[in-house]
Order: sequence, then structure tokens, then C-alpha cells
Amino acid sequence: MTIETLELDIRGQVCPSCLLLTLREVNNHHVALSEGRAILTVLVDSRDATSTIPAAVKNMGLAAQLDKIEDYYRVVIARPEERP
Amino acid sequence: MTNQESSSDMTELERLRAENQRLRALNEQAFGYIRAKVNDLLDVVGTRTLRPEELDDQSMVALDPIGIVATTFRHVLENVRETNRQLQVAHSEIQTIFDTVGSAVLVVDPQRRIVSFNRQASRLLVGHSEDVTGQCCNQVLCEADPTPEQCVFLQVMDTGREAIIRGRQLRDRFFDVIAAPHFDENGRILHVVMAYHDVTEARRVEKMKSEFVSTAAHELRSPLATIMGYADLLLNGPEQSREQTRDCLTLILNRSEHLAHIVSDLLDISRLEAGEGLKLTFEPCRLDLLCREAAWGHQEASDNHPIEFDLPDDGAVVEGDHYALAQILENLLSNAIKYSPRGGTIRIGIRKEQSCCELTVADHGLGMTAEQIAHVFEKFYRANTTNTGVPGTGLGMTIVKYLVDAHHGRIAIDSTPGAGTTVRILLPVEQPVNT
Repeated sequence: MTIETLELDIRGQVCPSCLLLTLREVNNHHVALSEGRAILTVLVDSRDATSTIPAAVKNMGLAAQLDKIEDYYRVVIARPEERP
Repeated sequence: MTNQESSSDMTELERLRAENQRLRALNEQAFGYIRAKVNDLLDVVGTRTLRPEELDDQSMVALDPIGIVATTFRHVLENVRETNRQLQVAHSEIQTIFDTVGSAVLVVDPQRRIVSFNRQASRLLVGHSEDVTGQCCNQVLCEADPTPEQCVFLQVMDTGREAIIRGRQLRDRFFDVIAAPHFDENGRILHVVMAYHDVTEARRVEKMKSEFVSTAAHELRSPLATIMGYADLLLNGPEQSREQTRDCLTLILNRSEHLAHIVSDLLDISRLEAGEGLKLTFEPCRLDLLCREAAWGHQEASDNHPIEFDLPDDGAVVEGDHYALAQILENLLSNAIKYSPRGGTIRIGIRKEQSCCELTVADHGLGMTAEQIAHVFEKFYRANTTNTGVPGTGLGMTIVKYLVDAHHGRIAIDSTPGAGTTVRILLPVEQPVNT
């Protein structure tokens, strides 16, 4: 099975817009993400978003891994079994 | 344009202005309402409010936050439903484990009230099937208020750590009890889970083994003392007549045979324990002659215990292992003599049926209770341990049962305390073809 890699770059946005834009993207690809056919990488520089995005996607049954990359954050969202 | 027409236009303009103001107010009210509801939703999803300076009204509408959050809630709901389904499956599995686990398990709150308990707890601890939820565990289980040394609950509440008490007696049973705290999210003890592992049977077996060691030591030492004494007499004592020497050697031989018999029993049990079984050679055997041979071997004892026979005149043949059948008879006869008072008659009988022979060995000795009969085939079990004058290792009947089973036979015991015991063995005349 090929896994589609999606990317959402919302650097420059602040919460709650970051969360809303991420949720919209997650909603658009929810089936593929839930079935493990896609992984969504969100690039964000709002510190608030590093707590709100993982908490919200966890409630939707997905997992998020957070990494600090220089002056921004990378949030990788995927099915829990295929946690990156 | 006339004055009349100009005045009419002004009136219309005023009306439109007023209408415009009213619509603007309604618009602001609508956006205010939407923003307030969006903020409510954002609060629920765990983020802060959408401030107008970050996102103006038109951009907010274009973003469609209500649509996004609504769809998100749908996905959250689906996830909650799936999680609930998995929790129900897990709960069902845990409940099954809870009820089928060998130990009795009780869960109590910090006030000792029983929160839940499994079937084993009902059977082993409570003693009835009524619901004891909400009752205090010490009132249900303990006959008196337990001390901290006797109570795992008190130990767990005191230390906040797992506690173990071995050999706790509750009613007529013994338990190894393990208890562990279950904490809430604030680190306070929410429940104490107590598991009672029934060790009554293990303790009984341990006691039997312990008794066996002392019995076996005694059994081995007595004939050894005789052998050593008579050997010493022959080597270092005054010169004996030929007849006296013969008597001494006969005693040494008898006692040696007795030792060999005990060692043989131990080896047989050891092999059975190891699952190796016994090698039997099946051939037609005269059961009646084996009975007479066994009695002849106890000729000395039979002076004190008359042996009567009720054997068929035309003999009784069964297909079996000669040595195994002889051992069955030897063990039964030995027991009958040991547990009979002096002068007590022992009766050996054979009754022939179409496809089997019923062998009976009956005595008028001490007899056994129903509980003693229930344990009589267990290894190391001795029914009358208080009667230390009766020698034995507690292995004889275990071996008899095994040998009867190996002959596809059946064994039954009728006994009355003080009146005597009758052992009945049904042996097939022919062994099954694939034996």
C-alpha cells in the first residue's frame, strides 16, 4: 500500500486559525488518514498550535508527533498504529 | 424638479438611511452571534477565541469555522463510538478473566466496602451466591476484627504499596493473599484489589509429604536396626549354634526384603510421577493361586489374623501382569493385617462374572470415614496417622489404584470406622485388543 504524504504549511498563522486550518485539512483527508493511506505534515510556528493540534487530532482517533525544526514546528499526523 | 418632488425624494432618502442603519445593526448582531458561537466551539476544542483584529467578519465567514468544527465533532463522535465499542470488548474480556481466574478476587473502596467480586470469591470466601456489594469486607470475610498483620487491606492503606500475606486462614481454608492499590488521577487510593489464592490443598500435600519423610525414615530405620543388630551379633557376639545362626540370617533376610519392598514402592511412585508408567506383560494368570501365594507370604502374621478364602473351586483366570497382580494382593493384604486388631479375621474372595472377576479383601479392622476414603488413593496419604504404631509409607493404595487402572479394572472401597474395610476390585477376564 502506498502512503500519500500531505503537507500543510501555515507558518505565519496564529491560533486559533492554525487549528482551524489543520482541522479542515484533516477533515478533508480523514478517511485516508484513519485507514493509514495518508500522513499529514503540518508546518507551524505558533507555539499555541503545538498543544492544540495534537490534542484535537487525538480526539479524532489520530496520533500526532511534534518536532522542533529551527524556528518552526513540524506536526506529523497519522493513524496511531503507524505513528511516525 | 418641483418643491413637492424634492421633498418626496428627501423622505425616501431618510427612509433608506433608516433602513440601512437597521440592516447594519442586524448584520452586526448576526456576526456577533456567529463570532460568539464560533468562540464557544473553539473553547470546546481547546483553543482561544477568534479576535476580530486577527480575522475580520468576512474572512471568518469565508473560513467557515462552524463547518470545520462541526465536521471535526462528527469525527470525534465516530472516534468516541469506536473507543466505546473497544472498551466494551475489553470490559467483557476482563470480566471473563475476572470470573474464570483461579483466585478469588475482591475489589474494595478505602472504606472497605466491596465494590466488586468474582465467582471464586462467592464460592471460596463468601460461601453463598448473594450480592455482597456495598458490605464491608471484614464483616463478610473475617470472624473477628483483623490486626494489621492479618489484613492486607490495612497494610495497603498504610503503605500505599502492594502487600502479601501467606497462609491466611479464613474459615476452614488457607490463602496466600496479594493486595494492590488502584490510584485515581490525583494519586489517592481509589480501590484496593485483593486476590486470594487458595493454598489449602497445597498445604495438605505439603503436610502429607512432611509426614511421609518422617514415616519413611521410621520405616527404613526399624528394619535397618534389626539387620544391624543381628549382623553385629553374628560378627561380634558369642558363637551361635547353627540353628541360632540360621534364625538370625532369616530375620536379616526378612527385614532386607521389607526394606526392598519399601524402596520398590518409592521407585514405582517415582516412575509414575515422572510419567514413565510401568511396563506390564499381560498373560493369563490364576488369580486364585495368586491370592493363596500372597496369604502364604503373610503366614507369620496370619497366626494373629486368620485368613479365610472364598475362592472358586475351578480357579479364576484373568489376563494380567503376574507381578502387578501379586503386588495388588500383597498391598491389600498388608493393609488388612496392619489395620486389624489381633485375632481379626481377613477374608479374601473371588466372584466370577461373565467378563470379569471381582476380587475382595475384607477385614474387621479400624475402618475409615468417608473423607478418609476420598483421599485414600492419594500418594503419601495415611488414613490413621494418629496411630503411630501402624507402619506404612502411604504409597500402597496409590500403587494399587494405578495397577488396577492399568488392567482396565475398577476399584471401590466400603468401610465403616471401627467395623472394618472391604476393598473390591473388578478385573476384566480379557484385556482390550490394543492393550
